[in-house]
Amino acid sequence: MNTLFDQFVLESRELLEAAGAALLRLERDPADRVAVNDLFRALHTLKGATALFDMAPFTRMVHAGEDALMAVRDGQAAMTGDLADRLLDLLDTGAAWVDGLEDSQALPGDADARAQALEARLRAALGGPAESVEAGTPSAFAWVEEVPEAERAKAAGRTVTAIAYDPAEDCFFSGDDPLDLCRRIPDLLFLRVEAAAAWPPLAQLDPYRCALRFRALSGASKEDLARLFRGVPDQVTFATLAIPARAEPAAPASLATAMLREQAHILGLPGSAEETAARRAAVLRAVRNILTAEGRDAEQAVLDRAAEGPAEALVRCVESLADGPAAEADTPANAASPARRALRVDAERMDRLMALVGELVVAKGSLPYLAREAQDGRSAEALAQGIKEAHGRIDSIVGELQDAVLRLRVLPLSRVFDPLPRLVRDTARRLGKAVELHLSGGETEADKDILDILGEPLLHLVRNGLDHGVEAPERRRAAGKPEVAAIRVRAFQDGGGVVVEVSDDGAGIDADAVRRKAVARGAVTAEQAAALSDAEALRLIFLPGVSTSDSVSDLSGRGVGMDAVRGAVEQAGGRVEVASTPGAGTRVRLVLPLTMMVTRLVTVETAGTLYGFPVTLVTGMQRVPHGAIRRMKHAESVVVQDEVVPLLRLRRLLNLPEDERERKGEAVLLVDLGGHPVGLVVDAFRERADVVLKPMTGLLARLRGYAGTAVLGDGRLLLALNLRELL
Amino acid sequence: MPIRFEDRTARFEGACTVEEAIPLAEWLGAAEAPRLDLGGCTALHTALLQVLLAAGAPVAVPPEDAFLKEWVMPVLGKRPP
Repeated sequence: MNTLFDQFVLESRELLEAAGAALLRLERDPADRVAVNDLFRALHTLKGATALFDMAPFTRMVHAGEDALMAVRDGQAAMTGDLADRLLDLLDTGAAWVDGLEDSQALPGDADARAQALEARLRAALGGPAESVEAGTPSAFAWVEEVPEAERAKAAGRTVTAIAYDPAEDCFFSGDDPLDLCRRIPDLLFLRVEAAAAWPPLAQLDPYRCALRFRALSGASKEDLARLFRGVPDQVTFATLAIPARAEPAAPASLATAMLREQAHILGLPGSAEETAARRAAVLRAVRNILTAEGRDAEQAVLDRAAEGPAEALVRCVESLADGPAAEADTPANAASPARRALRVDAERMDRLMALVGELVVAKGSLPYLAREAQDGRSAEALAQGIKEAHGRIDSIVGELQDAVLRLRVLPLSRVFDPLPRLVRDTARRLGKAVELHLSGGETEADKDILDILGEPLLHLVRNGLDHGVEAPERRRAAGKPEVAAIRVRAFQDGGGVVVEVSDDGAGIDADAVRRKAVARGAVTAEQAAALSDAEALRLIFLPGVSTSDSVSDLSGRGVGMDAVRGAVEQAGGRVEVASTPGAGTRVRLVLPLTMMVTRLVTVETAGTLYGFPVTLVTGMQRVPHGAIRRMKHAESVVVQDEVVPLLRLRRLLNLPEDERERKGEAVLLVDLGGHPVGLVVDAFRERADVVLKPMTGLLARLRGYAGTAVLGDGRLLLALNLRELL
Repeated sequence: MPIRFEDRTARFEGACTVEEAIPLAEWLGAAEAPRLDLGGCTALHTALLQVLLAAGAPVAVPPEDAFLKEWVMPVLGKRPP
């Protein structure tokens, strides 16, 4: 893939996004001139970009969108919901094609048919006549098929406008000069001048009666041409046509192929063992270089494997490499990888990073000096002083460097907000509800990984709100609420994390219904359900299989959603809160850490080992006297802020021996496990620590009670626990 | 005068307009084995073109003008039936 193409992929994604946003604005306010122009500009630029490559259907499809917009802009058509649907369809198709292009560098096989279908539907939405352009070449333009090959080649792969100009006989009297008009056709690709009828003898010819007609192809748009021919609209017809690209002859063997073949040949040359070995090494080097230059590093492994085998195997391997890059089927991983998104970084942040690296280089310079001092027998005290100073300098730089690198990954939340307007629009339309989406706090920043994790849950929450939260218009009217419901998505920073809040002014969640559902699903017993407060009952929606709605719609309500939301958020070290007032609405809050690279842990000591828990889960730490612990058979509990909290002992959870030491009370860590407060008895509290958490790998990955390990500043190992799995 | 009618040759110069159509047709009808010099022609009115096409007279000097050379000459070169 070349850079131009890469750039195209990135740029067209951005353009499609920009177009989508502008379209939504336009639909909301059809008089929004800025939105029309933004949309128009995005499509126009996209059309230009697609034209750089051999992808006529794409160009054609975008062109059709442009046509439709032109009609809207000129007031010939109204921006209806239908038209918006179709334009959005077009953008979606475009986005899918771009994804496909990135993977395979080719449009899907049905691209042409799809482009045509979209074009036809756009035209239908505009209410215009289903014009000529749909299938093949319309009969009035049969001559296009006869365009000589040389001219055809120029137009190949492009969307062109065919012009059939039959001047009126008396046109000269109104001052027309048809040939001159044709001269002014922009981007003229083909022109044929033909006699309207057989020529009479010269003597009988009336030079003042036009007997010629003109057939032309132009790369200009129909609109541009219509403007040119505005004086003779009755004498000219246009058709937008896609001239198919000619089948390219098989690409000649590339230079790399030839070079690789040559290397295979060299390997096969006879010679002494010594010569062969030397040749082999040289060939391997050369082949590696070729592969690298071709961007085929992935195939180095194949080569390495073959290099260990006998000479014939290597020859075969090099020959197969010469035949071209490994077929796509060999690398299924590629197809599965999600769309690559470029990370745009502020130049300022990059500069800061550079400056810090510079400082680090300078600070490093003091170390050889210290080494020389030590060799020269300087006093240990002076040396220690020097080392401490060097450490201090390097430490502060590394700290800043870490911060700077983290900042590179920090992006505004507006990125995850972007798809929401479209989602709300489409869903509300489908459900027949009137909903206004209010977004705020899009400028709040969070780590890229957090944003990636946040995307899906956020979509889900908004969809849920639309589907279950917001009532149908008649019910809203009956309840005396404004007909247009509001869904608010708000982001802000709070403490060490990011909070994203999704709220609606809908019907709210009926806690009793949730209780019933949870009991029916066997998630809790009837007694347990009855004992729950309403707020606690609401949390049951996060249990697998419990849904907030009785009806299962195609959107949500299958009871998998909220469970998945909780899972994703907690995986990122965050938590979910829900609050709802029946009749007034529901609010769901996602609390996430700012970054995943550095996790803030509360460390505790138990049985001589350090364990960590994400700060986001910990709600408090308390010393609880023995007397305050209530025992019911084996179950222990403690009252914290007027609430009975089950008490668990970390030693028991980890199968460690009981703590036999004499002590006055217990150190209790209060943890919020998805709305279930739990007290955890540990031996002792330790400091908080910012650590880079490494997940368990290999055999250890199966130990699900551990979230990962981290090395503390003093070199001790810390085990981060995944409490949910332990309980 | 954009078209100069010489003995056997009609010399087209500059933008040749519709007014020349009748004189051109008459000249072509009268001249014996007429020759056409389009070298200096920068614009040819449709009326003149159709006279030339109907007459089927050979073009001795093709036009320099790019548009005429590329799109009009090919038809002029073809003799009508």
